Amino acid sequence: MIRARSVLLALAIGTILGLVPVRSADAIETLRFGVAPAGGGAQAFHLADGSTGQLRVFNKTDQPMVIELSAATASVDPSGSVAIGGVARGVEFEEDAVRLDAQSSRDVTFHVDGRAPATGPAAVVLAQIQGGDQPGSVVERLAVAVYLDGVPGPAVGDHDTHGRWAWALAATLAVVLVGVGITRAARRRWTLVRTT
Amino acid sequence: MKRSTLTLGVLMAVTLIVTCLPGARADDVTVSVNNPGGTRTVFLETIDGQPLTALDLGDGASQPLRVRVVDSSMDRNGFQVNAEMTNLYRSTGASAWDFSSSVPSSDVSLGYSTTPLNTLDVSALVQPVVDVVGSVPGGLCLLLGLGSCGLSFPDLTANLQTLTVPVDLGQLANLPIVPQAGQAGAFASPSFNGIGATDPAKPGVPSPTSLRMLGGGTGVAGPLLTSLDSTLGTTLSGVPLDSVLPIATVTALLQQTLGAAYDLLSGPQLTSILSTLTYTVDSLGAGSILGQSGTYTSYPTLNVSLPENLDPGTYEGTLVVTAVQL
Repeated sequence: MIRARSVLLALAIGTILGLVPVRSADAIETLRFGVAPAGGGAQAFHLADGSTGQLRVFNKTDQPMVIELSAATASVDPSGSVAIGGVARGVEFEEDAVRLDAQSSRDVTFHVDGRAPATGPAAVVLAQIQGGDQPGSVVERLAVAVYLDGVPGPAVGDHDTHGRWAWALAATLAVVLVGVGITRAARRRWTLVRTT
Repeated sequence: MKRSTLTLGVLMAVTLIVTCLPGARADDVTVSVNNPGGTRTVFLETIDGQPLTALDLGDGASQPLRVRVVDSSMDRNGFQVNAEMTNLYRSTGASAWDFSSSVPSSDVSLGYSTTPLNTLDVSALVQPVVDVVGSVPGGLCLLLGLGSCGLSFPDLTANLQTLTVPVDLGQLANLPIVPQAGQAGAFASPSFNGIGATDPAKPGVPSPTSLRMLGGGTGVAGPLLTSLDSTLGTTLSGVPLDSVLPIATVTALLQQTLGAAYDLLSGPQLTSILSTLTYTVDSLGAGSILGQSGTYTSYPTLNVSLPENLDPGTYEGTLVVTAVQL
């Protein structure tokens, strides 16, 4: 009976996995690989500050490949074009690279820490095939825009996570110092009371 | 234990049915999904359509290329294909470069011909809404003792329709995805991807110049909807009701309207009522466009202006192309 259940369970899992196609709905892709927000139903990420997103990356080829993951800042220029900038420090992937078997896909989690810009996406999450570039070559990257909900503020790339910790540390120190000051004052008063 | 096994078995059966269901028969219930969930494929090609893996400028100063985006039942969301460029470094052997001798990326630029864009095979997937009216024929109406013989079923969701959208390059705003031409200009600030990744002068936080080679936006729905309304009217002209929406929807509404009298109807009587029904198509709203297909092409040219007093040799760089889903 246990064996039968195991077989049934394996078959059920296999069947369910079989429903997840290598090519994802709403994906942007090249001939070799593709990306899309995991779960389908959306083409870009709309996230809240401090939340996580899942990027589905998939290998369309018959060979294994390693996909490198990163994030870059994004801004809308006066012509309405989205310019991709430098590294978006407020977006962190749990893995910088994932290995994909032939014809397979994986969902990779990233964390977002930042505020929404006045317009357009705050950042893009990027994927490119590791070692896909050769001298004099072309590197193909695929990206999905990350829009942040909430009140506009410093962009993801400008957001200083360390600064936030520094403020927290300074505030804690201030509380400690005030506490020490109060304690000393109380001691002095107690001493005064005691000596008089 | 038996129950859990049974549950797994049922789960398998259901999932297998979903996977293996054959084409729906006419009397099957039509299940439509609002998100068609398509794909968007980006092709970077030589001007004659071969995959672009390298750009050899030879002794020349420019090289044309082709950027093609093919949407298949994709949502109406924008995209952009951007380019960045590294400096061109003097090659000193296989995968070896003299980083102190280079052509700066600012001497590399993108340009476009007089016809920078092309758009082909555009269609829109729409969800029409129809109003159905008809009547119970006089004698039958009296026989059934109905208070009103008229029938009216407004705002019924009809079957999905794929409409061909005519392409007029002078009226791009009429398209579900409005193609945007590329940006001409120099790569003022270099990328440090590809070959540039090992440049000792790579800054901690590179900020490369990013130029759009092709874009697609959603534009304003108004002109598109007017065009689609016209096409939808032509497409559905003369199409019988049972081909526009599931007949089961109509019979269910008829049953609801006639109440107990519905059960007294013979087959021919029901047919006589159904034969009176006609429909009109409502104007489409922006939410009626569920997806689009099309091919959007741009023809940029990569130009290099070699600086004077450049050391002789072969210079290599990396063109970084990023396709962004917006």
